Amino acid sequence: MTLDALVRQTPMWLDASGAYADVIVSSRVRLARNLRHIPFSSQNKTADEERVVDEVLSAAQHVRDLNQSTYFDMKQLEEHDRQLLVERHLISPALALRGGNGGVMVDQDERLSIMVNEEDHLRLQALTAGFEPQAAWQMLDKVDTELCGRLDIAYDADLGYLTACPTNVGTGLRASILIHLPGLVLVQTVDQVLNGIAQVGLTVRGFYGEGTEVVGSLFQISNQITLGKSEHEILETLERVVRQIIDFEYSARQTLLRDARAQIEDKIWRSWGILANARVLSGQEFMNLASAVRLGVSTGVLKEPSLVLLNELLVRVQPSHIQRMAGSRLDSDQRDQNRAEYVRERFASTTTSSRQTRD
Amino acid sequence: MGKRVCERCKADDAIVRLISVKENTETVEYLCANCARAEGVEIVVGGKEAVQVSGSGETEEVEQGSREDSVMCPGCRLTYARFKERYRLGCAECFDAFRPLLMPLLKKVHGAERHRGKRFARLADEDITSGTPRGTWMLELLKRRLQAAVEREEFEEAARLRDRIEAISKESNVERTAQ
Repeated sequence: MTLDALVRQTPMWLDASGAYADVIVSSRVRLARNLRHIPFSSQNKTADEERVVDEVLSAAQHVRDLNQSTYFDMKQLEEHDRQLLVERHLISPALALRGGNGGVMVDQDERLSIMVNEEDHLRLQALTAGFEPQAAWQMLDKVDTELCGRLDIAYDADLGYLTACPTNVGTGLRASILIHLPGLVLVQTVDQVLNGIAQVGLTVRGFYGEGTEVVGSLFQISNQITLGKSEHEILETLERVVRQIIDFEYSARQTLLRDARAQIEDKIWRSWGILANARVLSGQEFMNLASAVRLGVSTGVLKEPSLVLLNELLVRVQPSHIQRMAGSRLDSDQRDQNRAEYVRERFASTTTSSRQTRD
Repeated sequence: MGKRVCERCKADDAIVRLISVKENTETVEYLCANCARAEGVEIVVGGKEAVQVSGSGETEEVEQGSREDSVMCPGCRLTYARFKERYRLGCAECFDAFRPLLMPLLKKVHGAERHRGKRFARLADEDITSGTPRGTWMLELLKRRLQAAVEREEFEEAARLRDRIEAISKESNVERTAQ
């Protein structure tokens, strides 16, 4: 699969299937693994990195689940194309910056990605739509067994999987849920709800990951603890807490629509109106308006656009995607215009199609 | 104690204060781990035991924190001091080299000291290469090697790789048409 083909398709994890798709965009699980006999990235040399790539690719060719995958070599990608993979959640910003002998294996529908030579030699990731961390884990567990079983992995009977950062030692597992909480943000209880979760070993970040601000009421909730608990227990804790947050969000949405229906509907429709008509649209503005529209679709205030389209736009309106579609480098003003045009077109096509089905 | 440079090599941080007493004269020297070792000082990690000194009548003291800092992983030569700066281990062996120092840290971060999750299991040797390798993967790997061989001007190796790539390309085309 070429990068062009990749960009044209919609990743499976954005198809708005899966449980609680009206609150949860996606679930992601990743595993950190290292080869025993090669220094980790902070201490290694180019030759070490090449050996990692060789060993991983040699092993990967025998793994059935990776048969249809493509390997993208960071060295052969331009900076904006690496950024494109970041926007699609296939690689981390760190790998994009690092370049060198890093790379990523991506399966056909973008559910699996395996970063090579990131902070750890291997970072395996599975992405699913909706609230499906167990499904993501099952997929990942299988690939891990098949791929890492063919490698000499750094593993310690007491400490489990050995990783570059002590915070990943043990299972090397990080599960994170991308959750949309506009109700809690609007009733201003989101901090209160999320503050408690650190006590159960979970953490909250913004849409763009660690150290980023929250935009569009999108949060990522993930586990912090990787040692002393089984993968199953880690996922269970996360699921239990996220389910509570979902309930809080539902009740906040109910309260809003009961006590302030006109204002909420007005906010939703205005946001829809701007997205469907704007001529200049910054990324930030898109995220905030799309959040209100998503709330509208989830609560039945709006029939269109679909959650799938809103999910897809989350990725497609980001800078590198906008540039890729234009086929040239754009400054930020031009990007804002292209973004507005693209969103307008996509909104127009969905309203046309819904009109057609009604006729 | 502020950062002090080793008085011998003038390169590394001094972590040992070496007090030598010879013929009733006391000399004090500040040394890095390597120069101290050259003097026969054995650097002990943590603990309170006295540091052994070879030679006659020598005594020395080691700052508690500095002792830890000078521990070095034999595998990748990462020192504990460097680990503390970056918070990243350098290789699998670091976990053995730094284990007594790492355990309290892991306990603090995770509230636990023992792995209870999936156990690593290496596949049986005959299974490791089982399954027909797909052309794409092999090609990927070989093309990278070819590129590297050309860069290194190893033309024999490059020619050999080119032949293999050609052969595999044909094979996988046949396979794909058959599907």
